[in-house]
Amino acid sequence: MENQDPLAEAYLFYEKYAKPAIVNLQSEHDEIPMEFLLEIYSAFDHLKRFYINDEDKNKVAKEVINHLKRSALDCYKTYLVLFNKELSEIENNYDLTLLDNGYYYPKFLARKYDIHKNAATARSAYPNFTTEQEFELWNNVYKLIFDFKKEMIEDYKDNLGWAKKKSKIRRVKGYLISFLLGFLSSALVSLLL
Amino acid sequence: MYTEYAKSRAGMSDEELNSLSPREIWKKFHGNSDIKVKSFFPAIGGGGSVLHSASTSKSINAKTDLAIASLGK
Repeated sequence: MENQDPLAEAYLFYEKYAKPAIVNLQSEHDEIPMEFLLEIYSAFDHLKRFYINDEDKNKVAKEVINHLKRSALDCYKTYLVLFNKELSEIENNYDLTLLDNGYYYPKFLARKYDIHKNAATARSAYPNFTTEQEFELWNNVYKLIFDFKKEMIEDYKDNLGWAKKKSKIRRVKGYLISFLLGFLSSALVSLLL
Repeated sequence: MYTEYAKSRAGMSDEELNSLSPREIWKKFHGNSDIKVKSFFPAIGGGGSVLHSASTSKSINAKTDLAIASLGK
């Protein structure tokens, strides 16, 4: 992007990072985060200052990119929070040890921990790092989540459905057995007394 | 880069999604329904309205910290 119009760089950043981040969130959660829109609002205001208030183009472009980075950062953090909820739901309701002869779950945990480690590093960047450095770290976390969802959830969609069914059957069996045991033991006690 | 889910839900490629306006993308996912905007991180101590303030940032970071801690368990 060298020697390019600085405002074109800002638009390219929007197309490459900010727009996909919001569309991905919107496709999964059916809502647009207000935090994102407020950053876009601020970015637009900086653009106006170049066209209406004769502010320096380079300065304006830098501010616009900073707001776009923050908008993407808000999306990445939102994505992490929602991803964590999704993982908890899966871990609580699916017996993951049943998949891939027991190889799936350790892989799942290792990759989950990798995301945790990278997110903790990215989070510790604030407020000591620049927005640029913070963005790079969070973008990496986002990519890890992106790959996790593709390779550990999307690609295992059918197997996960099967594991959920199995877990449900096991749970119901467990309830029935404890109910029967309770019933039999109380019947036995009343017979003995 | 768009997720496989976003692309399959819209039935479009990365390039096609990039060429659409935000309103057109909303229509692809939700038909003609109104656009819904939500604060995923309502400001701490805020009432009905959400202020984009230091409080909102604190709220984003607080929820992010909780998620990070939960992922580490």
